[in-house]
Amino acid sequence: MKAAENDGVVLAIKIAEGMMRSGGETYRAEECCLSVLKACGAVNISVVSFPTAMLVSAELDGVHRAESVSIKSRGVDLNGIAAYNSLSRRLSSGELDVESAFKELDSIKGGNPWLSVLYTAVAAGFFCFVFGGGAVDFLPTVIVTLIAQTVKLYADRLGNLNFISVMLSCIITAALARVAVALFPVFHQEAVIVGGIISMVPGLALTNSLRDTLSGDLISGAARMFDALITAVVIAAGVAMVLAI
Amino acid sequence: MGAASAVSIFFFALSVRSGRKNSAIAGGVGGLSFVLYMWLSTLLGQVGAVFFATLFGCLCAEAVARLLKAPATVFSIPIIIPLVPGLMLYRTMLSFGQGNNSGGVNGAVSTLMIAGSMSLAVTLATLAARLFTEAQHRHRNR
Repeated sequence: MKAAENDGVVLAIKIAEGMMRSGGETYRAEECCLSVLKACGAVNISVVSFPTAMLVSAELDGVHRAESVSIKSRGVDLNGIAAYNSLSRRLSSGELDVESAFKELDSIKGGNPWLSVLYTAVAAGFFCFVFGGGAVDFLPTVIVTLIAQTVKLYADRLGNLNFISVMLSCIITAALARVAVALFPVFHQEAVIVGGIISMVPGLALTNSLRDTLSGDLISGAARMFDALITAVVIAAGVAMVLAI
Repeated sequence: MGAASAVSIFFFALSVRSGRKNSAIAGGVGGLSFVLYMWLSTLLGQVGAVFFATLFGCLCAEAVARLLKAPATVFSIPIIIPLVPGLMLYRTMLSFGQGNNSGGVNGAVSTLMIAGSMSLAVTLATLAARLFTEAQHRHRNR
């Protein structure tokens, strides 16, 4: 018997995948998946999730179903987390049926990336104060971050170049900071570099990796920690390359 | 410093597609968390200060999330951003890259301890919120 293409199992895994791609915790994605499957009447449910893939198996309407999905990228999208969480809650409470949920799933889209770049640049300017910069460093930090994040955005569009685009962005940040200080010695190079890279440093990823480990998601915790360490190495390498010249 | 961290958290939250209201709430709570961290640093050291500041921030995030019916992650991620040891991790790697192994090892230990204490604080806040919600349900169902 051919299984339905868009049934509860596919819906559950798509919601959980969206949650993981938006930066949701592993346990939250698994809970969403479980609650959607239970709401659809599935039994004998098994959900396994990693940062790079999800595997779901369940028995739906007497048919054993198994689905898997590969998660190519993971970012932070708070609107996405809220939207997928809300979708799973409304399915569990019976407010939505599977067909309506699929329509709503398709309507959850990413935001304007240029706006995100602008907000990141302004945030970087203020983070510069938090991490020891002066008022004079605000504007160069905003401009340097704007340029570096624009380059990262274009590099990300070329394909799966996660670490390369981060390194490129850090090289540009450090290079522009050196140029800015050479032209205007009143700026502080360290403060501008710190402000520029703050949006890329994997502090959150490291904290989440330990959190996953504490929750018992050992593979997820280890994978996220490795991701955080490699990102930190790549950032340090990018900056060190420029500072060594 | 507290005001700068509040504003930076506000714009960071906007950059990761949080709504304006949620970003403002996260900014306010995050600013308070950071001020608490700075004050406690002088009394308890960095690890202890980060733990209590994160616990405070995440408990507030859980409370606001329940009031606004949103996942706590939407608030807790921006709130803890100034506290996470991202910069320390980067400086650790830079130390190793520059041949300063002892500085790198010290940095690595500090980074792991801070990240560990933050993770513990976040987990405890989530647990406390769940226990409170379950106690509320049991009380209502009596």
